[in-house]
Amino acid sequence: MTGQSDTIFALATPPGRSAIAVVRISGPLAHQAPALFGAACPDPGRFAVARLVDGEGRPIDEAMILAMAGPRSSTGEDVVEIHTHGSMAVTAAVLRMLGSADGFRPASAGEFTHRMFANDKIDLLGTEALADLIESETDRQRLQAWRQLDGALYQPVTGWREEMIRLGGQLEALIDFADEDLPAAVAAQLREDTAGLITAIGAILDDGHVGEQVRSGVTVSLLGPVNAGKSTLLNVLAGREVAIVSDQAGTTRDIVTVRLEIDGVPVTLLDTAGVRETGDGVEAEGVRRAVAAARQARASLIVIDASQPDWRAQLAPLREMAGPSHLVILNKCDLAGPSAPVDAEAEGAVAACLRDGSGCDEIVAGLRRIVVPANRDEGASIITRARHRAALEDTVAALWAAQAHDLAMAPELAAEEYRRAADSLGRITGQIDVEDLLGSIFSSFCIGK
Amino acid sequence: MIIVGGGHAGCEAAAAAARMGARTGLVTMRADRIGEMSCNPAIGGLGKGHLVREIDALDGIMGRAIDQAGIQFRMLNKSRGPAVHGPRAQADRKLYREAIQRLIAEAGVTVIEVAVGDLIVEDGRCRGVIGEDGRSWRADAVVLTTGTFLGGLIHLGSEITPAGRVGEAPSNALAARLRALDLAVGRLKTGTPARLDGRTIAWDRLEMQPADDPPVPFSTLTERITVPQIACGITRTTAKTHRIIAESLHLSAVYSGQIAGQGPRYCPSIEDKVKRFAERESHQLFLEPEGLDDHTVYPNGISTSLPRDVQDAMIASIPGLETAAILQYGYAIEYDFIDPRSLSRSLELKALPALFLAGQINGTTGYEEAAAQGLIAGLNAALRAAGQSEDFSLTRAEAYIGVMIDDLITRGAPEPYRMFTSRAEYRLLLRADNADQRLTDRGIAIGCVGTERQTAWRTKHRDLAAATCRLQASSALPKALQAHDLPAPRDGGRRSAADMLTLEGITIDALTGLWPELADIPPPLRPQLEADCRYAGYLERQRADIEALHRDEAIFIPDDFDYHAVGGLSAEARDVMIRLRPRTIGQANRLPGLTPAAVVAVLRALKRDKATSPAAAGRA
Ligand SMILES: Nc1nc2c(ncn2[C@@H]2O[C@H](COP(=O)(O)OP(=O)(O)OP(=O)(O)O)[C@@H](O)[C@H]2O)c(=O)[nH]1
Ligand SMILES: [Mg+2]
Repeated sequence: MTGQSDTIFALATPPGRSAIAVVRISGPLAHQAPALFGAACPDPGRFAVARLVDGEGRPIDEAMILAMAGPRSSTGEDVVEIHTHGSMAVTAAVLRMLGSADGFRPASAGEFTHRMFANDKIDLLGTEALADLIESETDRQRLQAWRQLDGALYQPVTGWREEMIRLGGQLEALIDFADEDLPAAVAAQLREDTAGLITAIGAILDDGHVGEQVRSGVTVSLLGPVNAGKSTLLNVLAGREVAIVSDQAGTTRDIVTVRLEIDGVPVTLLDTAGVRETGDGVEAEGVRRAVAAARQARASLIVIDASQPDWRAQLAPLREMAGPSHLVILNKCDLAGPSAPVDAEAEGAVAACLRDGSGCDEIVAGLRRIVVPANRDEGASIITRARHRAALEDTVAALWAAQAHDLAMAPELAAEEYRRAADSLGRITGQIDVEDLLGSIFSSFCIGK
Repeated sequence: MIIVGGGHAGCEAAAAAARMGARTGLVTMRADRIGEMSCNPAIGGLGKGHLVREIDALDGIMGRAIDQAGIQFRMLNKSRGPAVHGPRAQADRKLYREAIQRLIAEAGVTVIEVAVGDLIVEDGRCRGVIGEDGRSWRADAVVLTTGTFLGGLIHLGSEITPAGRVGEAPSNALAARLRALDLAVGRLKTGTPARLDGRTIAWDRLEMQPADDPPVPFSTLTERITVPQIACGITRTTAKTHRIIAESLHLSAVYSGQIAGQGPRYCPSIEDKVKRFAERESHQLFLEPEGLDDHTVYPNGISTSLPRDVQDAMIASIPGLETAAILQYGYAIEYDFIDPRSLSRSLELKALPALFLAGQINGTTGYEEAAAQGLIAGLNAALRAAGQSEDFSLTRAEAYIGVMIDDLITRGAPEPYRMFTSRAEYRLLLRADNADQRLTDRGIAIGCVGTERQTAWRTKHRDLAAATCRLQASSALPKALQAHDLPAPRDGGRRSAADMLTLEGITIDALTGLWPELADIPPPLRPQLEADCRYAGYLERQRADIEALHRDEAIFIPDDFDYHAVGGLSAEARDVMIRLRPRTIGQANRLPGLTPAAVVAVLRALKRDKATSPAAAGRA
């Protein structure tokens, strides 16, 4: 039996022309939906092909109807899916008929997922992972979303939380049963187990942020003096003419964006204005944006013109602006002297002649090192969102604080920290504090997913 | 007002109602047993001591009574932080009874000695009680505190006797009336150890545990303890004890399947201990004298329902008790209790207005838990009798009493409910030392605090405020701190006396060298001030939680709220809510088996209702 909330429906496939379109219906009246179209509802777990007709008996479409009964359905409620031809007129007619029927209403954003959540079909991490799966563009993102759906973070987090509640409980026993002769070893064991937890969570935190990068991608900015060949590099990496290349200094002004995929991680490259002192107001604004972009980006590619005699002097302030994660490209080696490759090596830079595309492989290899830290294997990244990381960091901080208290003198303060630690973990799986999270998570879903 | 039952809940309820100005009758079967400690002769402990201080802060009688009867005062957890200090005292049972009887007489309670046969019920409300002798008493409200009388069965080995306590007849006529209300009823069990003749115990061979010196009173109205203090004996079970028990387990009422009720996990019988913790070679027990001129000794830690001959052998196997004579054998008692989820926050029975329940009948154990409920029931019954529509209730952030009642009416009592400090999520705030700061003004506001305490509290309140100012105003630079052997901060910044008190081991006493102006802070106020400073940082951190709690507690769910109209609610969640009808979103949050998502769904529906129908909002 399912609950008696209202029955919701939505188009589950993208609107527009397609081979088929699916309308999904969930709620107590779902199994009565086919009757609205003069069709019978198949038994749960089965499908049937039927002709759908409108109120006057005129044909809408020949459709496949699929029924599931709650609680063993995708949402936990009774569900019907109507698979029609992917025609705008057909789907519009189906939705119109459902909308005018009593007890049926269009789903609001994320409502199907909300019902899955309400019926314990999925937990908070699961809803996030499902959103990630739907948004995924690369294989690596897809696999990561599935690892999360399979409980990659849920399992350790619930395990740790149970352990923490257990440890907190032992401490509480020491406090509340002061007069009983509890084994003296309890306190020592507590410290040891807590240290173990700190190590275990610490190992997960020390992941080079791979999971978050895979999920939300990495932004890399191009930075360099005017005319160094930044836009040329962008075009080479993109494989098409995205930015204007010219021998005029100060060609690029606005930021030009290109999305690539490197090892399954989405990378956003930003081409920017060349950095120089300029009296031109528009160009000066471009330079300001270039520097700001470099500061915000996860990493920068610095492009330098090797044929300029003072290129070393130009490089120093650029390294400063780019921050620790950057790669230097010494371009136009064809115009520079024969010492260019040696000079590049001395600077830890890549020697390139971008006009011919030479040095490109090395640049991609360097990018790869920035995007996917070498020593991190794929399965190790189970933190996929900043909020997971923040909660785990809070947890570890609370556990350290607990360790700092003398269990004989101030067990009540240590206990306070165990509670805080368990609450922080609970926040990850949605055991507490979900109100705000729910709002943001469900509204980021599109109807019908 | 009629209070039925002369135990700890009944006495506190009667005294509270009388303080509120209600004409109060206390109906009991035996007037001479009013205030009897039927089991362990001790008051207080961890969590329980907090309850007693809270009762005292609302001008109740338990704290004053034990101060006049305590023969061994001990502050449990004294070496630990003040939030987990647990005042406890063993009582001289006779002195305690006398103190309670004196206090309720002073409060103006009329004692009526009769067995209650039935309730007067008119128009669906409780209007009084009828004695078994046919007399009747009409009342605006009735508080029922009849302990384990509902279906009480005593088990001693294979012997079963229907009873309340040993030697007292269970009042089964009233039980039938309650059963007719069709309330949810559960079954619990509890046990008691054999009582020993102290003259037959080899005290000289036992380790002794002395009382604290000086003893710290429970009541803020008690200046000092004048009752002589005694020591308790400590001994341990032996391998032989455990063998005797293991061989006879099948004879224990608890293990033969004779008892159906659920027992407390935190207070297992010795049979349970030996069976469940087989790896423990020995269990500690305290030998607690029941009075100064009473030779009865209560062996705390070996409650049992084994047959008499096994109890004899078991006792004789314990060092110091080899020749001890048993005065009364231990037994287990099982009884029905009313599921406290059928009560409102004021402990009024939802199904029968003007009838309040307090104490063991609600599934709790312990004198302190009973007394605290009696207090709340008595106050609310008096408010009701005076025609007030407002309840008097305390939140989880205000008092252990609030924690307990919220637990009971929200989660019920799956095992006999006992207070622990770990049940209080705001433990650092809810301390035994600051109960008056938390509650006395609330008591004054409803009129349950007498003039003596009002005056004392106003003075103390003023002194506390002045001392707090002084602690914050006195400050020094690191060099000055160092000069007085105090830990100096490395940041070079100025520190106030209040800052210094956050450090472990620093007391006001240690600061008077540097700040002589602190020397005249009255010593009785110091622990409270020190604790406030010590926990200041944590209390700040909890403030947001407490605000959230109070916000959620302020969102009422109307009694006729339609859960069927709430979208996104699983069938299970809906069933739980319809069955338990949480009064506020805060309470819904704490219902076991409810996911936060379900509560959010209800919250959304409430907001929607409010937006679309002002009438519904008004009702809420
Ligand atoms: N000889 C030579 N010329 C190059 C090379 N790479 C780029 N150029 C030329 O250098 C000039 C500037 O290239 P752009 O890519 O527009 O340079 P930019 O850094 O984007 O310049 P601004 O946008 O003006 O800052 C163009 O004429 C390119 O054809 C190279 O490796 N060798
Ligand atoms: Mg350019």
